Amino acid sequence: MPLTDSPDILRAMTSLLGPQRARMPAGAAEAAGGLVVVEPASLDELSVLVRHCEAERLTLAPIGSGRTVGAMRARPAVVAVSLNSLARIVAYEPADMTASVEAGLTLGELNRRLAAHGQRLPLDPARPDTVTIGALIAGAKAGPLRLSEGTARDMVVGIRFVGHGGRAVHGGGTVVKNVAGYDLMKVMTGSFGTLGIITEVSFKVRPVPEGYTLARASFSSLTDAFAAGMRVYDALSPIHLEVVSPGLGGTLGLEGRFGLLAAFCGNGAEIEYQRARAVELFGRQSDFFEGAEAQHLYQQLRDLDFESAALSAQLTVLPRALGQCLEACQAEFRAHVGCGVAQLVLPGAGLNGQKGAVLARWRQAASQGRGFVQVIHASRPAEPELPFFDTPGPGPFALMRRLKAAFDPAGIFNPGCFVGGL
Amino acid sequence: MVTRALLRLMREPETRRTLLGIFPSVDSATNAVSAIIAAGIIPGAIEMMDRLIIKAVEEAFHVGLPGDAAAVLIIELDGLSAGIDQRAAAVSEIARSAGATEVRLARDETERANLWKARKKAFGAVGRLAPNYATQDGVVPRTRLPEILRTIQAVSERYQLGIGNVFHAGDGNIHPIVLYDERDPDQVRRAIEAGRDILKACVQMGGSLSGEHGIGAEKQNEMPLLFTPDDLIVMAELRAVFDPERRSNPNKVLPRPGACVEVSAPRRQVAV
Repeated sequence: MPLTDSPDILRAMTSLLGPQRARMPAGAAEAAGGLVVVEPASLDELSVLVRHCEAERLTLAPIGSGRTVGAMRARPAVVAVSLNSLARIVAYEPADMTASVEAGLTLGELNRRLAAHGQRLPLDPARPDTVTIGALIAGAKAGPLRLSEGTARDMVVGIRFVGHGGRAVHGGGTVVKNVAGYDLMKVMTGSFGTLGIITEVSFKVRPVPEGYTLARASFSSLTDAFAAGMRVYDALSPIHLEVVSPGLGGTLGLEGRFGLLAAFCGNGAEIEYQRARAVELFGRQSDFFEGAEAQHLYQQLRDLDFESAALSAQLTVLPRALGQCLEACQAEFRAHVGCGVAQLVLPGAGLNGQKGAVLARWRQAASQGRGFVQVIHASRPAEPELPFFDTPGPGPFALMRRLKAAFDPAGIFNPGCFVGGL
Repeated sequence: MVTRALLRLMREPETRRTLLGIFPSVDSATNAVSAIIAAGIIPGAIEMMDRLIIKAVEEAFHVGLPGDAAAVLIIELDGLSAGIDQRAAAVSEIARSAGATEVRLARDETERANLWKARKKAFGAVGRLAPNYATQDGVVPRTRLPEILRTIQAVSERYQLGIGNVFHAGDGNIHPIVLYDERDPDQVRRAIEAGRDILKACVQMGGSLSGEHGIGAEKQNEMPLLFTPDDLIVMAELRAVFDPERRSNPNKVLPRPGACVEVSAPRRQVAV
């Protein structure tokens, strides 16, 4: 009979790994992830934990700061696994531009360490000090820099995880070019803890650009803002390019209008040239920010909050269709122009019982742009008809089911948190 | 079978600058590679050719490479017209500091095409050096390039076979060209062993067996150098998800337990 009572589970985990390794959840986010929190201090301890949970049929959810899994799980898993004790930089060679990092380290801390050598991991989800490397990869998180730098799957060159049977597995390596063996990096990226627990990731890192400038213009309509955005995208090489709807512009100085934010980097001559061209392309008054002011505005843009809304989701469509799809969604949004990706949000508490209908509207709009919608956050009580992912086609779903069965035969790894309820 | 692919395209860069750096030693050339990258400059390409290859290319195509150079680098920058000359000047300066005796900038498209012709036809020119050649595709961390090239030199001496080098230096992806004559069984044996020794050295330096051409059948039994039995079991499980009946190009990539794959001759390969 599987354990379902927290004190019993805590006792079982304490006797398995010792009293320092198991505790009750601290706060609502962790509590939504698991009934108890276990914090292994080594790969061996994690392997022991996985084997025990498989034998006892206890579900496991890897949590970073608990937000992603907490939002996704309808009910907590039995055991939330925190990798806070596995948070070292295992290797970092600036001249090779690669770093191997344990999954419990935060992205913010990693980038502070890399910045000392003029480098960074250019993945920029909101509030990087609350995003662990494990969550970054398992949740395939990204931000504005995706336009120029790509997303998690482009940066990961090697991965280690503990899979079924407690096996410590690795794929790839620490070099930037490598086709030896099957690509376990892409299997694990965006797997949401359903195939195993990521313990270490090796990345390509990039130089911090020499200079950075951010241009801001505002428009009275979504159409005008997107038209200007596409002109910039077609003519220049912005490192990020966003349109933000009026309701989210409070921290960005948009004063109730649609905002276009375009950033450029490079050496002095490159920035000067792009800035001059941007002025022509915006076709109206625009503001330019440099130095600390530009950094501040970028952080406000990066950190826009989509994780505490009544309903929020990420829309992915063909890049040229994005503006039109967003018209149809009728939501507040931040759109990554040129990527075909936007985060949608409906604020307020008056949505109970209507979230399913709103989400259906968003999914309809996405299908017209030949894309999909993935829920980021839905406030409780979650409506049962509120799947986080689109319904997959029968062919791909059959493949995903076989993959899940092969990697997680006991069905303990964060069940229910992937496409089709896997 | 892949039947369709949806690709993310890149825009053609607005402009390019292509430089040829001439070096008195392989070490100075590889040090220049590290120094360029350490300066935060990421060229679109950094390609290296060593003395053996330079000589073969020059004899075959007369592109104007200096016959007495120990190594050359072809470095290509791309991006906006504004600012690219500053970056080209910076690369040139770094290359000189690392020991380049000369750095030439391609002045027009014809000169640029000529430099790339030298690189792209290098493998064709190797036919002038020996009846056969076998290429490996190992990878090392960029900072280990000087070391792996010294190792290749030692392997060349140990097996008494010429080995030329033409490769993607910016990625640490080497392509040592082992020269041999397939009519001599002992040379064939030595060419195979030389290739394996080089790949083992790559792995020992924290690299990989293959950067771009794959494992196939030739290197499948070297896979345990890189991966543990558990890693390989998981890869086999992954493969079975897609191909449970093992019909799709079987017996590749993963080592075959119990089966001893004898490679009778190095595969002839074309690297680009």
